[in-house]
Amino acid sequence: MSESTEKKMVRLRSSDGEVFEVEESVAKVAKTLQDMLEEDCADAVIPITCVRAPILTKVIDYCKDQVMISSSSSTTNNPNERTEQERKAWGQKFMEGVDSSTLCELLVASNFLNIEGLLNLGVDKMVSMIQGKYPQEIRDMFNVVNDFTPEEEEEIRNQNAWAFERDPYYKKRSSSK
Amino acid sequence: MSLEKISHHEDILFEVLARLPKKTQTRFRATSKKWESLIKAAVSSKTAAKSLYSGFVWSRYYGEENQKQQEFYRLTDTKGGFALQHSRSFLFSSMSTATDVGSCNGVLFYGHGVYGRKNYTYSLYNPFTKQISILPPHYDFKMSHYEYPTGLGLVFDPNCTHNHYKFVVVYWCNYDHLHKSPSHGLTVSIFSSKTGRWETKQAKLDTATYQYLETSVHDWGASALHFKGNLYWALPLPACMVVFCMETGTFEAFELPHPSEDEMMMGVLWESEGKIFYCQICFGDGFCIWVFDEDRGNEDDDLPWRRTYYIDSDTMFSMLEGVCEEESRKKGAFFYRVTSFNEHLQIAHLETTEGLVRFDVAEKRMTLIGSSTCLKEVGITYGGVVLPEYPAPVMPSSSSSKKRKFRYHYW
Repeated sequence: MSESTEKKMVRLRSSDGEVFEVEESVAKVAKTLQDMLEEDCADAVIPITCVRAPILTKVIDYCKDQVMISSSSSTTNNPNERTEQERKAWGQKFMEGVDSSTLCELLVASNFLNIEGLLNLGVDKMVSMIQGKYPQEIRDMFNVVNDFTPEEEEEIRNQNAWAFERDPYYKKRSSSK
Repeated sequence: MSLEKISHHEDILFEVLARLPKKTQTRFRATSKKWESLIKAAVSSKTAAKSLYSGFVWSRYYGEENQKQQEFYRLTDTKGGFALQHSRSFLFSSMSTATDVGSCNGVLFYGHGVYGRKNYTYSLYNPFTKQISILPPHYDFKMSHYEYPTGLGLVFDPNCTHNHYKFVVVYWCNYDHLHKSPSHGLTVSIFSSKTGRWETKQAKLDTATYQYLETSVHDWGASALHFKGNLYWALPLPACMVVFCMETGTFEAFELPHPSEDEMMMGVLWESEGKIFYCQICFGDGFCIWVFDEDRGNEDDDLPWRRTYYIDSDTMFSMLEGVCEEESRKKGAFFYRVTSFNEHLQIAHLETTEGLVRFDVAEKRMTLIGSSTCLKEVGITYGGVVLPEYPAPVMPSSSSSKKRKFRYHYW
C-alpha cells in the first residue's frame, strides 16, 4: 500500500508559541516525531513544549539537511553525498558559532526529540569545550557546588594524582574551617 | 560561559562524561559528588556493557498541567551497594501518556494514545538498546469505551534464537465482535511479530473458571508473568491466579492463598527454577512466599499452594524502621507492595513510603536503594514495574525487517 499524498506537511509549535510548517520527511528525522506520526496521533499542531523557536529553527535546519542527504543517496551520481571527512567538516560547521547556552538548549531538544545525529554533534561539541579543564573551572561553568569535604577531595586527588598535576585552581583547603 | 542548564539533564551529562578523554574524566571526579558518581557509572557502563540489566520504571509528573512521563531507572551494582541510575526517559507524554506498563524478560511494554480510538496502541521498549517498537493498532477489533483491556501480557523469550515475540491483550466483553452477537466471556487479541498481524479470537474457558472470573474486578493489569508459553496474572478479588495457555488458547483459574477475608492482597507472581511462586505482604500477616503445586489442589480443602517462607509483620516493620530516616520513623513507614524478585528469589524489591527497599530474603536484611527524599527531588511518584535481572535481549537481524508490512521496527 503506497501513500499517494506527496509532501505531507506537519506543523510544530515551539514553547514560545511559534508554529513551524515542515515536510513530514523532515519531521521524521526526529524519532520522537516519527513515532507519533506513525501512530497517527498528530493531526493537529504538535507541541514541542521544551524547545524555543530559535532552537527549533536550528533543529529543523539539521533535519532538512539529513533529508537532503538521504533522499539523494539512492542515485548513483549524487552531488550531495559526503565522505566521512566532509561529513565531519559539515558537522563542525553546523555547530560553529553555537554558544554555550544555545548548545545546552540544542542538546536538550535533540535528546527530547530523539535525534541521535544532532545529539552526537552536541555532545562532541561540549566535550571539546570542557576537555582539559580543571574541576574548579567545571564548577563555575556548570554552577556545581563542591560538596566534598576537604578530606574527601584530597583523597580523590591523591588516588588519581597523575590526572591532577599542576592544577592552577587548587589550593588545599584547610580542614579546620 | 554557562553550561548550567545541562546540569539537570543527567542523561546528557552522562553521555558527555563518558566521551571525555581519560585524564580529563578522572580529573572531573573531584568536581562534586554527583559528578563523581556519574563518571563512575560512565566508566563502568563502558566496561560492563554486557552485565545484567535490571531497573525500575517510574511515572514522573511535571509542569503546571501535571504532565506525566515514564522514566527508566537502571539498578546498578556499585561497590558496597546498589543505586538507581537515571536512564533516558523513553516516552514523552504531551503526546501520549503511557498506561499499563509491564515487562517480560527485560523488555518493557506500554499502551499509549486514547482508549477506544484508532490511535490507541502498544509499544515495546528495550531499555538496554533504547529501541522502541510500535505495534500496529488493531483496527479489526473495535474497542468501545466500555471495553478496556482486562489484562495484558508479553511473551518474549530472549533465549530463543528467532527472537520473535507475541503480545496478548485480553478483553472481558459482553459483546462478541467477531460474530456480532451478544456474548459473555473473554476475547483475546494476539499480535505476533512473526506475521506482523493481530489475531482476535474468543477464548476458551470452562464453566467453573467462567463463574469464578465473572465476579472478579475486570482489571488484571499488565503484570502478567510469562513462563513456558503460559501467562499468569494474580487477581486481588477474588484472590486467584489466572493462567492463559498460548498454545491452546484456554484460561484456567486457581485460588490464591489469602490470610483473612477482609484484607486486601498485595501479591506478585514470580518464576524461579521452573516453579511459580506467589509472594504477598499483608499488614496483619507479614511476608509470605508460596510455591504453586497443582497436585495439592486435588484434596478438598487444600489450595494448590505450599508456603515456603514466612516473616511476621513485626519483624518486617522493625527491619523497615532500620533503614528509615529519623523523620519518617516517627510517622511510621509502610510497605506498599513487593515489586519484584531476582532470579533466584533471594532478593525482593519493596515499594515503601520510605523509598525503594532491597530486601535480602535469605539473610533478612534491608537496604534502602532510592530514598523518598532523593525520589522527591526528581518528582517521582510510586508505581513502578520492574525488570528482572536478566542479560539484555539480543535483537534479531535486520533481514526480517525488510519484509515488514507495517512501518514499525522488529526487534
